[in-house]
Amino acid sequence: MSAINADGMVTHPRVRPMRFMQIERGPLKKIEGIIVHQTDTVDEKGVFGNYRHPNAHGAHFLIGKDGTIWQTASLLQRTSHVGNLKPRCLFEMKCSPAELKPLQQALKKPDGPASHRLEMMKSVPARYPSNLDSVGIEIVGKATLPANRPVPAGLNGRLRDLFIGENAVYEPVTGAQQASLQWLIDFLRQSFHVPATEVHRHPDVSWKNRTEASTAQWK
Amino acid sequence: MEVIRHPHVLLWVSLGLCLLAPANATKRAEDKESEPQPDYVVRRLTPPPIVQVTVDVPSERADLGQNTDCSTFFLRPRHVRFFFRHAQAVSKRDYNQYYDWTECRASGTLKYANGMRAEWTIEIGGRGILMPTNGRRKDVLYYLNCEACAGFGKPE
Repeated sequence: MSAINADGMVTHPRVRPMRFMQIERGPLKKIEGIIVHQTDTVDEKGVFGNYRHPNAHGAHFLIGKDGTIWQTASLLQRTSHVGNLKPRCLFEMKCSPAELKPLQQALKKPDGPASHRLEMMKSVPARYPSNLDSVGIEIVGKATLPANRPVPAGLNGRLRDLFIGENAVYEPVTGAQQASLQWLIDFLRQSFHVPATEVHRHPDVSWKNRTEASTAQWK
Repeated sequence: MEVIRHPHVLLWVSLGLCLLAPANATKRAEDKESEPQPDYVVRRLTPPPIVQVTVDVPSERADLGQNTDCSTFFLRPRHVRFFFRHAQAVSKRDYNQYYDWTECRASGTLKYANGMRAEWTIEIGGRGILMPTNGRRKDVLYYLNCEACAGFGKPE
């Protein structure tokens, strides 16, 4: 018996429903990948509060510090959780000459959309999973500046905020989060036949803080 | 008249800078327990016309490990006006978590018709931060994103 109901909500007792329709963006027609994120919040409340805003971005699941798994969006609905894609063939060093030429031209424009548009002309696994075909899992975890990298003296306001954003390091996932993540990835992979090669960390597929979800592990 | 527009809220105020509470006024009292942390309140900015734009740093590269060539990015005042016409307010979390990190950015100041001054930073990917430097909202950070701006600021 399927553990996903007609609304796209998981009915397994391990998953608690907390659906926010504000983050849903239309039908999710296929699921070809899973993207693992971290929230940059200390707890779930910060995320739930953000999800209540109109046009907020979010993922399908949220794993709390104690390992609680919340389902925050239907699996029948897309959410915006990935952003612009990195060129996969370039990062995996598999570009064919035909792919490389337009990509090189797009990469001369140092903004995400040019190469993202090229990527979206491909399908998974030729590109990374996107908002159109992936499930997002958020893990609660705050990013803070490491002790050896304090805010430089005299840096205030806007520049201080930029410095923190660019240099903060995400806290490690807890043991309970790790166990829940593994269970959830196994559940989703079995339910949607997602290969192990299509489970990714957010900064591996998009232009983000490189430490996000870096301590999350799965088999 | 030039104003900062945030299409998703469709709110226009012609005078003064103001903060608007999240549009869920009917929220029940018990929901207050789970109110968002202050960092994640979307600060909607609806200011008067911009009367002066100064670009202090038209192009610089932040080292985020992408080794981007920023020579194709050079912001002029008209780009800044375009940005603030089309940007929409986003939460700090979405700003950092969802919108692209890009290494090329510019910064400067601007002045509104009511005397309010603000510092800004705009990135080539379309993200930006605005911070008033005087008045009631001094030092408040506004997180913005402009979908229409990605890739703008080409040198002439």
